Amino acid sequence: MILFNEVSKVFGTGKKEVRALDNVSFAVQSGEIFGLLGPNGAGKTTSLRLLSTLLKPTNGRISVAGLDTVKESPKVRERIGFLSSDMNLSGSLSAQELFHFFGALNHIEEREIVNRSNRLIDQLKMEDFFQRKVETYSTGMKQKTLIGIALLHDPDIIIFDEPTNGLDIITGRVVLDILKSLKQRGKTLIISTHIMSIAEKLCDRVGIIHKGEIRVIGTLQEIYTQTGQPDLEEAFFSVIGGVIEDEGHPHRSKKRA
Amino acid sequence: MKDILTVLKKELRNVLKDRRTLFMLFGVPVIMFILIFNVMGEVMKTQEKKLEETVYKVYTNDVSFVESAFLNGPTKIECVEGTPDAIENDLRDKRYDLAVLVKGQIERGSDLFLDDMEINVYSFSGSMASERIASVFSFAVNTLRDQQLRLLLSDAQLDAGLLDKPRINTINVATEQEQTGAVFGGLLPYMLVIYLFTASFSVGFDTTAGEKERQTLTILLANRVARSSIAWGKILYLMLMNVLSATISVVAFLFGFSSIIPQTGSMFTMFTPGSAALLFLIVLSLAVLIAAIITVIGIFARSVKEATSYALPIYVVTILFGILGMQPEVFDSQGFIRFIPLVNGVFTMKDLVTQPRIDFVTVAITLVINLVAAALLAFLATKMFNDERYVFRTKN
Repeated sequence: MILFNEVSKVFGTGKKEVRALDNVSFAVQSGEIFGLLGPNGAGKTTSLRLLSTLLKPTNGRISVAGLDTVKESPKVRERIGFLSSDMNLSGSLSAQELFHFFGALNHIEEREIVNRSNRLIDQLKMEDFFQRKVETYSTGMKQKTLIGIALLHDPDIIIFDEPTNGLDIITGRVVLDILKSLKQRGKTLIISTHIMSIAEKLCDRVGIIHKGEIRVIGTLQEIYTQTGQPDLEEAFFSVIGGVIEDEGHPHRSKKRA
Repeated sequence: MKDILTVLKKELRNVLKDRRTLFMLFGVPVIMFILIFNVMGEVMKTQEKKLEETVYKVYTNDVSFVESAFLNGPTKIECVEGTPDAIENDLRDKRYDLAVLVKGQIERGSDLFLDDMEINVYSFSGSMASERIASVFSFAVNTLRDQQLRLLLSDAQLDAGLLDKPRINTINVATEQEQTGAVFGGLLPYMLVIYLFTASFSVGFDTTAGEKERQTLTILLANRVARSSIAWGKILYLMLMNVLSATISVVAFLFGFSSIIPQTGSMFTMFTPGSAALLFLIVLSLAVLIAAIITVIGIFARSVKEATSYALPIYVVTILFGILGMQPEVFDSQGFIRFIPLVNGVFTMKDLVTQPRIDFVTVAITLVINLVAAALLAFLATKMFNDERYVFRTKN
């Protein structure tokens, strides 16, 4: 189980202080697909970075299967596979070499790395470019490679930040199929997206985050009931008040009542 | 340790595929040094030959005196027309190489200088030919004067050998190898420090600030590997590249150097296995220290450009000490200087190459100081790798 307990995250100090998350609490059950929805700058990426131990909360506590993300960060990272929209790959190496590198870092035996790589090549349809240098890859190829790396150590918890961002419809479908197969295998998934149809198709529960706060949370049906809207897109706009924040600029730190 | 080696291997695999960086690190110094020294050697030879064959143009108001001065030497001259007022401009314009204005005259018949004779020799140091002929002329006039004095002494029935007294015998106890070693010993630390830094700049900032800039670091940080292992993997990688680059540079430097100073090769008889091993240890400690410095700067900086601007002052100061190190005994290498990390290595290396006796205390202090400084910086680097304020500090 993943637990966010009154988590706040503040970047900078003084006049430059930005409160990206404000006293956020929610839980994600094992085997569940949880969707984090919100406009740009709402706090989605910060939440996922905190969960993946890349960032430390200013206040509050996050636990993954009972492990504290600050005090036991390496153990937490063993259990998670993380993909973020701002990740990139080293250009001189091939996906094959990167799989071997990250496999070795995860202490997976050489033969097992090959077996898992072969499975991922099939699932992600990577055979055409697997041995080519990353610098020759398209956005979709890079995204598939990043997903492969995130899944190589067979983590229980998968955290994907905007997994279909910038992908064409074919690659987007491959990614969605992967997410579905992970769900079938009982993995816990947390995905952030601003594509409502993806959330509607995949997620067991959804949380809408806005200005660093979770505004509504629940199953799709619960969200519709709480907001009185017929679908997720309408529910989303009713929660955020129809106003989208400037891209990538979380609100200034003024604690709301 | 296994994770550190995995990170190191990945970095090496990465750089081995980057032919351009490899060429800059290992190919350029080889080509540069061998080419520079060979070109220098050829230019020097050609220049010397040209100076020997040159017919120097001399303007003088006493042609017979000037011609008599050069009569017995191999240097060929041609007297040309001129005026005393235009000497400075004519020399600068290279209309002639030397001007000699004689006041008073040689006593004709006896070839003796008169007491009040004065010779003004004008040359232009911006011209090699002018400098050469001025020095040859001075030597020739002095020889002429000595000959005359010997005749005078002889006529007065005095011993001409008086001119040679007191006999001054200057004996340099340094062997040919040691003399070459003094030149080489001044240059070696300078060259090494330059190349340890150069290698670090290109690969070190690429693997730290460059990874931040390209956003390739996040995927590594999100992995289970300890941040300290990432930091140490990168430091070891940098250290290895530094040592390789420095070694190749020194070998290339030696090849080039020996092409203009043939005694360079025999200079190695100065080295015992012990002193060579100590020299290598000092280079190693400097490589580790520079790798740690560059890693800390690289993690702190938001971009490669910013990292380079932070590192340049340290580089310049160290090079400055490297240049000072070329001068004999500017600093006492056994004094306070041996407690300054990085700089102490420059002077200890110089001592190891130029001094016949090894000062083990200074070598030990240098090693300990540099390794302790490197360990502290490496510790700082691992702390910075664990701190989101630095690893996610980018311009984006």
